[in-house]
Amino acid sequence: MRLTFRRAATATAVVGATFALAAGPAFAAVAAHSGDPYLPTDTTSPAATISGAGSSFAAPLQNTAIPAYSARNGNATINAYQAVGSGTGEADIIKAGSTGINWGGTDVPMGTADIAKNCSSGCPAITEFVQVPIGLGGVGISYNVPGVKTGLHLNATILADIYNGVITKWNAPQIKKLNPKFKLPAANIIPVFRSDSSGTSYIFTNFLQVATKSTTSSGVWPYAPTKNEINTYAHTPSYGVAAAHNGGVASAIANTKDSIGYVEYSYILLNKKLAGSVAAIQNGKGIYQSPTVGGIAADAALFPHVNSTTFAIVFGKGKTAYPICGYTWAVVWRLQNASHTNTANNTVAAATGTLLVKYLDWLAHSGTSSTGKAGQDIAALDGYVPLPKNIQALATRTLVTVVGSANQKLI
Amino acid sequence: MPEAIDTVEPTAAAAPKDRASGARRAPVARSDRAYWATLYGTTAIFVVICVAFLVTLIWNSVPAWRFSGLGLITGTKWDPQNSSYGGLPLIVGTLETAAIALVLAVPIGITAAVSIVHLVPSRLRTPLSSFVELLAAVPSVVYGMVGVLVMAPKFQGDVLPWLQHVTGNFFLFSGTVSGYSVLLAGTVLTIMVLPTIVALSRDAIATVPHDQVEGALSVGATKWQTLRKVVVPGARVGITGAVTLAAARALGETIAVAMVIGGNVHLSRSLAQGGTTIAAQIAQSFDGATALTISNLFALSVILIAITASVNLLGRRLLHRANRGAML
Repeated sequence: MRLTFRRAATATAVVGATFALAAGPAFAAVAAHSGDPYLPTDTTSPAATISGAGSSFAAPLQNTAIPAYSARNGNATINAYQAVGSGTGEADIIKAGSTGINWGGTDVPMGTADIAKNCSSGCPAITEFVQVPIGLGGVGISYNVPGVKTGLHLNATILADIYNGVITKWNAPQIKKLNPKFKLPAANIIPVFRSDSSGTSYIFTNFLQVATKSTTSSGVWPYAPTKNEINTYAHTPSYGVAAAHNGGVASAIANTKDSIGYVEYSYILLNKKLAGSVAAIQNGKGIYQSPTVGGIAADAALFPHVNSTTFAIVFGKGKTAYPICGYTWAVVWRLQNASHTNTANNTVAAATGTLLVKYLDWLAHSGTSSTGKAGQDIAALDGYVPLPKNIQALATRTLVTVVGSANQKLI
Repeated sequence: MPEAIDTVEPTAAAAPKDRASGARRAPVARSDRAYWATLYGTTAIFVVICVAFLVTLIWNSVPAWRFSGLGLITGTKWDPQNSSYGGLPLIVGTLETAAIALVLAVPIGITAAVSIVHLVPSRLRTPLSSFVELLAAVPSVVYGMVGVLVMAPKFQGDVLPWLQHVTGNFFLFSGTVSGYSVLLAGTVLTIMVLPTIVALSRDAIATVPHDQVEGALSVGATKWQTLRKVVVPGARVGITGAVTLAAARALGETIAVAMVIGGNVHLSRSLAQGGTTIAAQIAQSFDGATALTISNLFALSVILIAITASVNLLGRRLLHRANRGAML
C-alpha cells in the first residue's frame, strides 16, 4: 500500500517536473521576477556529472530526489546514490580525489576525528568542508507486548534503565507509575538495538544522554554517543537482540514478544505491527508525545541555531515537540577544484561544483506553487519531515560559501 | 575421431623429434602444446585466484593484528566503539553453533542414510533421495526466514522455557530469553546441514559391496548387527567426508545464522541467550565500519578459515587412522 503510494508520488513528481521542463521559459521568467531562486527548470552549463554516497537514512530521499532533479535540468547527470553508511560516506568525500564522490551523506556531521580516522598524511582541515542539512527525521520507540496497546508513556530515565539492564520487567514500578491505565504483564523486557554503525542509534543515545543529565543514581546514560560504530550493544544486557539496519530492528521487534526497540520514524509508518504500538515519550516540557510529522517539526523549530558542530536537536522544551529527532547532512569540499572533484581541469571542476551546489540547494528547499515540487516536498512524500524554513536558509547560507578554483562563487 | 587420437598420441618427448623430421606432424604437435598450455594455464589461473584471495585477506588483516595482537583471539570484549576488539565471544559462538549442529545432525543424518539405502521400500527410495537433494538446494536465507518467523517465537514461548523447566534452570539454558539464541542458530544449522550429511552418506553406504552385507547376514548376523558392523564401517570414508563438509558449512554459514542468533557480543554461558559468530558478525557490522574495524573483521575471517582448515585436516587424520586400522 504504502510503497505503491510512494512510487505513485515519485512518478507524479517526475512527470510534473518533466512537464515544467517543457513549459520552461515562461514559468522561469515569472519565478525569477518573484525573487524565488528555485525555478521549475534549472540549467547548468556545460553539462556535468556528480555522485554521492553515505547515510542509508538519506537513501529513500536521494533515490526519489535525484530523478526528479535530473528531469528539470537536462545538463545534469546525477549518478545513483550509494547507501554505504555514514562512516563510508565521510571516508569517500575525504578521499574525493580518488573516489570521485562529490558529496558524502552522514547522519552526524563530520568532525576532526573523522578526518584523522580516514587519512594518514597531508590531511585536510575540517574547515575545508561545508556541511549542509538535507533531511529531518525522528526516532520512534515501538514495543511488542501482548495486551499493551499504543501510547505507553515512557521517559528517558526508564529507557536508559531498560537499555542498561536495570529495569527488566514490563510491570516494573517505574513503568507502572507512568501508566496507571495499562495492564502490564510480569514479562521480561527484551531490548532490541542496532548491530551496525547507525545514525539512528546516535540520535537515540544522544537523547538518553541529554535527557537523563539531571538524574542521579539509576536512569543515567553515561555513555557518550559517538559517531563511528554507533552501537549501544557493548553496554546492553546479554539478553538483548541486535539487528542490522532499521529494517532489521523493525522485524526483530515485530517478531519478538515483550521486546522494545528504536527505529527511524518512517519505518514505523511502513510496519503495521510497529505502528500499532508506539510509545509516547516525555519531552523537555514534561509532556508525553507520540512521534508525528508535526511533533518532529515542532522539536526541530526549537533549535534554530543548528550548525555542523552544534547539531543535537533532542529533548526540545516545547509543548508539542517529539523529543527524539535529528538531521541528516551532506558533506562537500568548500573548494571545488580539479583534485577535489576528480575532474580533468578547473573549468570542468567549476561546472561540477555548480551542479553540486544547485542540486543540494534545491534538495534542501521546499518548492512554491509556481516552482513545483522541490527536494523537501519530495522528502515529505517519503515520510521525512520537511526542513524548517530557518534550516532551509542555513543550507543556502552554507552552500554559497562553496567556491571554484579561482575563488569564484558557484551560485 | 582420428584427430582426437592424434592429439593425445605424441608424448612430450616425441614432440621435438616430430618437429625436426617433417612438417606433416607439426600441426599435431602444436595442438598438443596448446592442450598442455591450456591445461597449465587454467590451473595457474585457479592457483593465482586462490593465492591472491588469501593474500588479500591476510594483507588487509595486518593492521588488526598490529593493533589487537593475540587479544583478537583471547580478548572477551568486542566493542568497536571503544576500539576494543576481543574476538573470543565470536570464536566461541562459531564453535558452539557448529558443534550443536553436528551433535544433532550426524546421528540423525547417518541413520536416515542407512534407512534410505537398506530399510525403506525400494519404490520410495528414489523420491526420498530426490527430496533430500532438493532440501540441500534451498538457499540459506530461506532457512533463516523460517528461523526468524516460525522458530524464534516458538523458542521464546515454548522450547526454551521448557528446557529451563526440565533442567532446573541449568546454566546452559538459563536467563531471559528472546528466542534469538545460540541454540536456535544451532538448530537451524542442523536442518541446513542434514541434507548434506544424508545425501553424501547415502552415496557412500550404497557403494558398500553387497556380498559383504549378504556374507554377514549368511553367517548369522542380525540386520542391526550387519548395518552397525559392516555397512557403516564400510562407508566410513564417505561418511567422514560428509561430516567434514557439513562442519565446514556450519562454521561458515552467514545469513541464516545472522538472522536468528541475536547478534549479541557478550560471552554468555547460556546457550538460550543471544550470541554471534564470526561470519554473522561480519555480515551485521561491516556497513559503515571504520578502517580499523574492517581490518579486524578481515583478521577474524582469517581465523575462521584457519578453524575450517583445521577441521578438514582433522577429518583427514581420522580417516587416515581408520584406514590404517582397517588394513591391520
